[in-house]
Amino acid sequence: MAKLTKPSVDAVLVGFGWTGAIMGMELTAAGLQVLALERGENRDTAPDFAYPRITDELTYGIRGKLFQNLAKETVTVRHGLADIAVPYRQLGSFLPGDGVGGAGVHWNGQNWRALPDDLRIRSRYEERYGKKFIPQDMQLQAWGVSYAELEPHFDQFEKVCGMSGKAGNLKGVIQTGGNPFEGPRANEFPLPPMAALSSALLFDKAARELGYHPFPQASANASRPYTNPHGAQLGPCNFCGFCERYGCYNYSKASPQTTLLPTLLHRKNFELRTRSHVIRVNMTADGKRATGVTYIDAQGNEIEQPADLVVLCAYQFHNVRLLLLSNIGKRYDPATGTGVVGRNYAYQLLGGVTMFFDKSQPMNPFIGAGASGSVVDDFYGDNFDHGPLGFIGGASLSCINTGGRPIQQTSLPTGTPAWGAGWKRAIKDNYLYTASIGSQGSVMGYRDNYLDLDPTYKDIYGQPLLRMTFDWKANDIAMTQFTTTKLQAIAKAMGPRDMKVNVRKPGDHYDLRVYQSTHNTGGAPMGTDPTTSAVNRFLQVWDVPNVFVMGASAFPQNFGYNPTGMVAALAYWSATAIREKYLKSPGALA
Amino acid sequence: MKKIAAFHPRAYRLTVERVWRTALFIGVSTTITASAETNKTAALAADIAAAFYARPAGTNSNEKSTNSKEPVLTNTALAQNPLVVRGQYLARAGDCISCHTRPDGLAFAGGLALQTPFGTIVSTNITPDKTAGIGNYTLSKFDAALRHGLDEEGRNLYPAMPYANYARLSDEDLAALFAYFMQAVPPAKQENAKTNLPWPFSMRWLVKGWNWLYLPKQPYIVDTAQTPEWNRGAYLVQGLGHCGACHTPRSLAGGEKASTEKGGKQFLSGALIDGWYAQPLRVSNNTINNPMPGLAGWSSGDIVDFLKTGRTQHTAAFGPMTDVVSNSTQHMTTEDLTAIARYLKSIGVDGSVAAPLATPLATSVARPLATPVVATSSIDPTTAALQAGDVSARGAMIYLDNCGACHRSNGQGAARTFPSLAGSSVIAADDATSLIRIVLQGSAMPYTSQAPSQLAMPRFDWRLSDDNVADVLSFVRSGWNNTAAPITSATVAKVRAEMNKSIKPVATTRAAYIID
Amino acid sequence: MYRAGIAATDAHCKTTFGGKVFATLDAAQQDAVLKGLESAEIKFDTISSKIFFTFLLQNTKEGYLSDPLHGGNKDAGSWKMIGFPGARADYADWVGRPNVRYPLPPATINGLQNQVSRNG
Repeated sequence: MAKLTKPSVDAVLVGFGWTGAIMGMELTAAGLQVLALERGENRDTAPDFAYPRITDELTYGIRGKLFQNLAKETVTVRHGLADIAVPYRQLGSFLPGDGVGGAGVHWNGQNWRALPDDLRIRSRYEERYGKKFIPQDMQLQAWGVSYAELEPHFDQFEKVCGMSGKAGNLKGVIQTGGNPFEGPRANEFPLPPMAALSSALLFDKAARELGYHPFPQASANASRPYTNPHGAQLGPCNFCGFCERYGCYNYSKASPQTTLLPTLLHRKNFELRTRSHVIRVNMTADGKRATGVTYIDAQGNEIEQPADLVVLCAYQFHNVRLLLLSNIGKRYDPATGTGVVGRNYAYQLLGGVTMFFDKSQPMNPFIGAGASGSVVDDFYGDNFDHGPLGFIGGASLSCINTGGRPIQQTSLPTGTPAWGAGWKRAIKDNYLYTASIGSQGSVMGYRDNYLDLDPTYKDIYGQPLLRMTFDWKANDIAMTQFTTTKLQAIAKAMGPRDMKVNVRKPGDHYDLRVYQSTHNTGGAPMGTDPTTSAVNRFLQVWDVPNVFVMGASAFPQNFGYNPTGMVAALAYWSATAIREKYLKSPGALA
Repeated sequence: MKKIAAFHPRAYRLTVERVWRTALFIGVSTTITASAETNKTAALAADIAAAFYARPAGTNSNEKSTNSKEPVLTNTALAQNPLVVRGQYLARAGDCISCHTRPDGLAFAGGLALQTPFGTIVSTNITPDKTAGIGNYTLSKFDAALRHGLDEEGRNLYPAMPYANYARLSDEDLAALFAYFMQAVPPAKQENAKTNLPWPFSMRWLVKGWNWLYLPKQPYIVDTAQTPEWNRGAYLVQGLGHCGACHTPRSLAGGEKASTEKGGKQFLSGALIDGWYAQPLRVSNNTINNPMPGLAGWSSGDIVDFLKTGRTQHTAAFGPMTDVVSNSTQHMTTEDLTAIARYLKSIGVDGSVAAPLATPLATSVARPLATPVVATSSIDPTTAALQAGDVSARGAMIYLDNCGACHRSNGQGAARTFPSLAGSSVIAADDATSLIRIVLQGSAMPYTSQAPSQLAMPRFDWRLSDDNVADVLSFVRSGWNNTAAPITSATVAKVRAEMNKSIKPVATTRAAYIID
Repeated sequence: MYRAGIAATDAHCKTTFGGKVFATLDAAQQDAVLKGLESAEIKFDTISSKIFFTFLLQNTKEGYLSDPLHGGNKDAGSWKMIGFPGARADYADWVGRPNVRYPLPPATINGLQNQVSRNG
């Protein structure tokens, strides 16, 4: 347990998932000596995700071999300010990653760009529905970056990943077969969409008949063999059905390992240290600059790592926790609504319909891919009139079949016995004939949904855990009620013999035990106003110019979309600002 | 031109202009004596380097060497010295580092144990350390080692060191290598381990007899009937590249059965070495549609692509060749790789050598971003059965359960990522040792700067019995119009036993046979 | 959990079914006991019978539906019953063929090593 100091580096990256890998590529390309610190293990396709051992549902899907070990560190959760938070001890609601590649290893690959109006959401609603339309306790705020500014970076990430899809808007011209609501793209997707699954074909037809605009999900599962601009290669996806919660054995899913690390790990000005758990960012006495970080290595030594530039690239709530533990930025106070670090923690609100089809229509649910399916964007963003509905936000509606792994993904009709001969008969009769569709709904930022340090619980290093205070709000319940009704209509039109609806109702509380979404956001929101944002529009900490914070912690409020495309685009955007502005003149960029 | 000629007395005697140009192209000289002035030679070689190596091995300066131990030419003076730069290029072409560096050791400091049928030979320190390495070597002593197989005291080296191949080196290239090792390689104080071969192989003088049989008496001799490019290819293949060390079968005495294309049909005809079958590199004289071992189905562009990136549209490097690509051939210029390809493509299975080829070669290493999946107009019976779920053929079910996910039911894999089994020269090889070994042990493509993804096939030795492997490979060898002979369980068992015996990474071994 | 739960269940069975432990009861009696645990009508002193039952049911389903390498799902019997092809994990040839039932039997992680090679 020695205390050691390592030689200084130009930039230290805390965490080595998608944003760490992107920053690593960009900053080494700028000539910096870059060190990435990753608390988890090193991992790669061979041997860690090799066929056939990766197809072990119990080990990976249920026991969560690739996820964060909650026995070492977790978050505590409570519903309201008056409650006492308890630790999240068993993986349920969300599945934070661990190890090289982070959640970029076990994501599904569903990729989205933000809608142009998503990034100026407050103005949009005020313009169309008036200022009073926004609820009092909702802290709706702009991102400080425009779609046009991010477009090249969305594009860059899509090329890195070999994204499969169909453009809906090319330079302002609406394209048949794509998402007509999306912002203008400079380029078509690098690869054509994935082949359509049986359930998606039904969804597409039903949605079209109802007058909606279905399109193939943009997918980071390669539909063809692909070589990205760095020379890294992807193999064509074979619909194995082991995507989310698993590493891809087939080199088909874009991950840091398949797209960036083959190049980055060979750069001589890059170093990766795994099993290195950063416990704080070190600051000068006046708190105006970071001097580096301190981490605990695999042997338990406390290592001080000096660096000129510190980039937090960990998962959303680890980034926020590190800011809090290092006293960077003003802590958020829900009583007054002031302060920025911990502000606007948000999540997503999901609805679903499971359909059971006739024996003449086997769905073969095991034929799946993380991001293969059909999607409707008609009820997301402000793509529909919110006026008479009275809520803000919406949901993307999708039919994506990620697989038919029987422990986790078997769903049975309402009224089926939970066990015994009746249960056995039901799985025999329904497994092959089941399909499901879902709504992925946005959740906004609220005054009393926030993050801070837990007063009681500590991690294995003796540091306070992060505390999450969160519950559903009426606006978001109204959103999910409405969008799930639309979902139900599509499901009915798909023609199942039976169906089962899952939707949150008014009065429901957030249930931590059931998996919902690993799309936790906020806590270090970006923006143009230092009183409501923790980082500026370049993800640079206000007043601490040599600390940048990547990731979904920068989201002022959440999307009804998967966040990775936005997280990656922001990382490229920030990296470009560092390369083109910060390195020439280190200081505040905004 | 005049200046070069002035230092080449013999060049005056070469009256045919084409021959003269050829000699210059490959940088050949036939004279060097112990008294030759190093400076003069260096100046000459520098000139040739300037003339013919205007673009030395292009590597991204921002990239770690594959072997991260390899010294980086950070010293500007060295990096700007064409002789040193060329020497580094040649050291890579000769793949010196692979044998002369042990896994945890300093670059070129030796210490790697090479297993040979005659005993273990340990590679030596070739850094310029005055006591542990070759720091006291003169150019003539360096020459004695490299081209004549003699150590500092004039004792015979064991031919695990491919000096019989390096004997083809031109004087200029020898001088460039000398300059690189003396000036750019950091000296390492690592003492040489003693090689103790059992009697009678401990008698080094026996090697003299071996040398009499196998050591060429002079550097590469230009074939005036061929183009400069062909000669350049031959010079590299026979010399520094020492391709024959693995790809040419050896006699009982351990010498390559033929060391040039003129030496007979055995030259580069494929050989079993250290548990792997090094593929035949001769061009089959069968029709191209009939999948055959050798390079018949390979275009020259494929060969360049393979040596540059460790993969082609249809296949990938495996076994010890992955190290050769990542440590050596990926660093070579496209011109040199093209010359190698042209030369190899000219050597027929029947012993013929094709006439000079004048057509320009289309080498496109850069590929479009997305490569469309190959569409087959008529579906062959193997594909049709597998796609219908018909697994009645012996080995078909094992194929679907282990291979089909990547290599697909049409056996075509995917462009550049998953090798094709249909029409593959590896599948078609008479000797299935490598094929079996890849199934049992898995394989990974090498890292190269142009193709960094080390796409890997997992090992299946724990999942498939000898019967399973025999059945599935027999299925593959006869499916999709492949016509190779079936494989028996006994053959698989033999390869498995051999594989389990090998105690060190196969990728670092070399041909290392001596007199019997 | 299991140590306490099994002991408590057997203790309950012994008093209710004349000294018999759970494993020796007939199927109907076993079902009755399980229902009692599920509904918490049977109560334990040491732990919650309902929570014990929830764990038991979850782990039983996991064993029943996971790869045979974990000890349950003998000969992939449950996968055969429901139609899950297990570790095959390659369906490129079967995408875009609606209403066609996938015809091949399941694969398991440990594979065919000790089975007859022909015809899986």
